[in-house]
Amino acid sequence: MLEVQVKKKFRSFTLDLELSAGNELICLLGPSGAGKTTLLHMVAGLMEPDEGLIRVNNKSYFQKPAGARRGRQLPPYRRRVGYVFQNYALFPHLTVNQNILFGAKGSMDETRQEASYLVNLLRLRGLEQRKVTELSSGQQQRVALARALITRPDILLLDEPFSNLDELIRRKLRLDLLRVHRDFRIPIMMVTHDLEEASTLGEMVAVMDSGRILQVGTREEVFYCPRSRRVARFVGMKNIFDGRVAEVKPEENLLKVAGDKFNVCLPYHPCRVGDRIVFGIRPENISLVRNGAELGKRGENNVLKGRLVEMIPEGPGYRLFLKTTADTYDLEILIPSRIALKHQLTVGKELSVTLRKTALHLLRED
Amino acid sequence: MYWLSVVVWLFLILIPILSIFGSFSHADLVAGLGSPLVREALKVSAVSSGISMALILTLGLPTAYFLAHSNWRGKIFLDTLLDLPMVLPPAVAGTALLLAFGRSGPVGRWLSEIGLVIPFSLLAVVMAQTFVAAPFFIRSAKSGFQAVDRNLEQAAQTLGKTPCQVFWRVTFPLSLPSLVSGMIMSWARALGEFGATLVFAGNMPGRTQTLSLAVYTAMETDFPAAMVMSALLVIVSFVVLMAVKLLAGKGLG
Repeated sequence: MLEVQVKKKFRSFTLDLELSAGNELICLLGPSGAGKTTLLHMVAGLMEPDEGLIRVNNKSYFQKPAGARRGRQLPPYRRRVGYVFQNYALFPHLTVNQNILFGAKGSMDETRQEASYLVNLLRLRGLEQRKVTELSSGQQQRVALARALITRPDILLLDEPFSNLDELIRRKLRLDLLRVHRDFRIPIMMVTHDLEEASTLGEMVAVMDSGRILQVGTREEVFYCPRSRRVARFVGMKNIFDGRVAEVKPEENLLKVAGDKFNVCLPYHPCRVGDRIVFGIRPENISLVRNGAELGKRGENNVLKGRLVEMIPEGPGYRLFLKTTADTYDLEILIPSRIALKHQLTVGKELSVTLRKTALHLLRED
Repeated sequence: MYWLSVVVWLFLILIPILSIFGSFSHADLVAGLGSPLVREALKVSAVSSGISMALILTLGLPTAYFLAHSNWRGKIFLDTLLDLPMVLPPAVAGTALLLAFGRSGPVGRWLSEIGLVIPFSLLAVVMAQTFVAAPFFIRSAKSGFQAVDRNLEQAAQTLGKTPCQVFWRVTFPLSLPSLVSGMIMSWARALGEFGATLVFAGNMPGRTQTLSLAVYTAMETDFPAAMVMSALLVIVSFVVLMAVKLLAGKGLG
């Protein structure tokens, strides 16, 4: 259980945010300077907020009501926080084993058992007597995790844990982290600016910018239903358009929109004819339509025609750039390579695509 | 052609040093080491520099830590003040000490009322040495503390260690090479102290006459003994400097 509600003024921005979560893995997503690391520091007690409260597992870490002169700030060593630093911060003068045991409490027997369990869990067997400076980054990362976990923390904080690692090791470590999460059942708060990381790991995603949380919710909510244009940009929605409401039909769950580029139908949302609105759709939610194919209910499918101007391999598929107007391109589409093959795609080809009504999402202007 | 410049330095440093070693015979060495002047000077130097080091370490360590970790307006003033004795002419330092702690000085007058007279005592020797030598240790310790990654200390705190435990288990071992080299430099400076000691503590054999003061005195009365003591100081200084360089090169941890 985690409950945060803090404010702090800095020279260049003000941190002001609220966040609560159960035992989820929360990804803090946002550009550098958004205040993600600052938030971790506050939870760990390495930085004191101006006011607010921080509670973990029903234990008060920080409490200072607005306007109060003195607050209660529990020092870091009396909190139960596991912190994995971005540079791992392993003690260079100690061996792997000494690093892991650094924060251990309790009897020798218990500690030894616990260490042995963590060494297995994090694949560190055989490295115990090494100097940490001799380890690879991936190994150092796992030592840092083991060292944090041996204290049996009530919450685990990770600051860009995978940023210095190559892709293969990154994938393995993500699995390690998920295993840790399953075994320890504590909230894990992780800073990242990697979208893919946030979408594969984050049960909850909090999008941050300039000291504020723009949106927090489940991965699906944040990635598919971003609240505002800014969030949509951060989570890679890519296809974001402006338009004006042309018709409002609540009984048909329909909103007809005269877009600045093309007309579409959106799910109903209370608004008036003539209102300016912003809407978007994720690249993977746009699909190709075979020429002449029968489509279900008319008007729900928003079929558009365009010319393929660029086609870039990405992961197991392709990212397509489609031009429907005079602009360089208007739509970004992500499709599996199987589909690309079936449609015999080449740059310059004329295509029809469908922006299904249910996948189109209304955004708030900001 | 750059080696030419090196030759000039060798000429300037090595030749005078070597001439010290050529200036006394084996018999002089034995006689010198046995003479009461040399023995007493050795004793005064050993005792005073030992006490000075103890003082410098116990007071310098927390000061250096504070300077390394705090950040406040006016810190640069304190920092400069603590470095000042390093560049001050030792005679000026001695005069200043004498003015403050002498019988008619602001502190000295008060101290003499309670029966404590500092000038021309072993305590004065210790004070002069501490005054002049402390900056070497504080500087080195400060930069040693600053070089320790802040994240390591923070990590140790999140692992349940109090600031005191963090210091002894993380900061101290990691800055040990700097501490040791600062300590050696500081001790060497205390041992070689001359000007401030002469002004503030005088030159009394057996009480305030340190090795370097004894060299000065013996120059006129017992030349070979002066040379024996000079040789001793040269050897100690050379070993100390080289030890510091080796430490810095290797890193202790």
